[in-house]
Amino acid sequence: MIKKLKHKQQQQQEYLKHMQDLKNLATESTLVQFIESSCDLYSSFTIEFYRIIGGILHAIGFQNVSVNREGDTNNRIDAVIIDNRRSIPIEIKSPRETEYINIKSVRQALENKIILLSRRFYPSEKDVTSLVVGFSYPNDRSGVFELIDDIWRAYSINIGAIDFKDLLKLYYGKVILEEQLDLELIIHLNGKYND
Amino acid sequence: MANIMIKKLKVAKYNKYWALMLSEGEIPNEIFYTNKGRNIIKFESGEESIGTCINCEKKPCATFGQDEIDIEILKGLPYNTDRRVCPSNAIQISENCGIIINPEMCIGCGICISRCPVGGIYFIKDGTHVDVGISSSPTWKIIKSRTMKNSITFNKFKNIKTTYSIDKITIESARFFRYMFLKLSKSNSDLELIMIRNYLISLGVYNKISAKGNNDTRLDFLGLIDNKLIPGESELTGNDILGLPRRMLDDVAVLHSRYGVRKEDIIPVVVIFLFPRKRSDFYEVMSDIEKITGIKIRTLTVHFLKILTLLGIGLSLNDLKEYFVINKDNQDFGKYTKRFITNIEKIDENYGTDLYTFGK
Repeated sequence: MIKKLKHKQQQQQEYLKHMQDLKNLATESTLVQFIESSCDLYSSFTIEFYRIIGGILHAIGFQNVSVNREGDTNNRIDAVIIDNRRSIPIEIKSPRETEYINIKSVRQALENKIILLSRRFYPSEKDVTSLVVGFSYPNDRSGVFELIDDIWRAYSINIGAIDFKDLLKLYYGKVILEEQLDLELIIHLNGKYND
Repeated sequence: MANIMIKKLKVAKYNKYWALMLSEGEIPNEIFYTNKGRNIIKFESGEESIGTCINCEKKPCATFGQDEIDIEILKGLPYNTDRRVCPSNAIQISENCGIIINPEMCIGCGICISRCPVGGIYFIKDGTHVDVGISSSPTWKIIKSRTMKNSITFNKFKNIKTTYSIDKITIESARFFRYMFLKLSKSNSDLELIMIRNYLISLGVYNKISAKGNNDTRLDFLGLIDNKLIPGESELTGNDILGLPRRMLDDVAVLHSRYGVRKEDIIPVVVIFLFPRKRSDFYEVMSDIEKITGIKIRTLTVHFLKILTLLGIGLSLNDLKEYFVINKDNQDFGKYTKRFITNIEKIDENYGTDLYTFGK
């Protein structure tokens, strides 16, 4: 029990350090430098990558982001933006798992949304997106965006895809440039962000 | 058992019409199948003989006809055109001796038994492998139908009465089937899909399986009955059973969106070897999918397909529409099995174990 608690505390400290490092990097760099350096820095991360994604989403304005605990196989949704009406399930692919958002992650995002709507452990609505976050967008021939279109036509469910670089841009805009972000673009995202 | 001496026979390749007779005018009227040794052919006269390979021309035990594989479903859809019947390549054709079955490669699926029109292939006594019946004193006389009165054609022979005495499918033989499948599937990448395709064809569900190396079409198989599409996904090695419902949703979305198929005309099917444990999320996800999308996914087990094939029972569109939905509230596959095989407990002592469901 104590061992587990210590492990959790250690993870929390590491997470806070990563987020501080990210902020420092953003403060000291131009947007282009920030994206390049962050991609280099986090390209080999797995578990930490999930938490950093959660931290960035929190920083850009989503108040309550819950990242699934390591090894929790009962809850297969990687993270959830919790809201009292429009919760968003998130499927995260770390760069160690796969560099590009792929078909499998879109399928998982569809299942995440179905599970959330069915089991209602957090409230959500059908037109609210189910997010896939990956290190990079796939190339045009991957079939990922065609599948997202197919899913919309068949089930009227939105699957949104956003890559690490676009998330870093949003972070930089919000934290450094103090821009107002329209979160509705993410909440109802279908397909590629900023397409 | 009849004891008839006839010289060794060979079927001429050009012999399009031929018949099988014990002697002139004497027609077989029943094949009695068993899963414990050689099958028995019964004649109108009351005489009996053992089923024997007659080295027939078409060899349906080894190769499907072009018309059985090249079916028209979704024009332009790439598919695997391999026409082999034996998924594990255990059957070899010998020009002089008919067919030979390599016991090292035989997984005991029994598909070749169901395809042989003269009961020439049989399960060896422990029910694990099949072998081909070869008689040193051949029982059959093969005669050109054009020259014989009362002769019967290949197809007529195929339609004679068949009786099945399948009993005691032991847990050992069922486990051996799975063991051999897992062993051979490592070196035979299309064993899984060829086996499923062939079982379904044997049960009357004509289907195509995905072409090797084709990443554009993600369907494992696509069947057709009476203008209803049966897209399918399989997971027989058990590595990613939780991925099956997801893959199925993908398939339905693609068929609906790109090919304009109405969702009501799609009957999605997944095929597995063993059911996951009772508390697996598999069952709950199946319920979630039905609740949110209205899609009812049917689950079939390979063991069930095998027994239906051995008993010569087909699957109709209505069967696929009505049955085989397994989910959180309905985890008993046995009730579906019983609809088709009322005495399942007698013929299969594994009934009620993990081959169908996890508990009686």
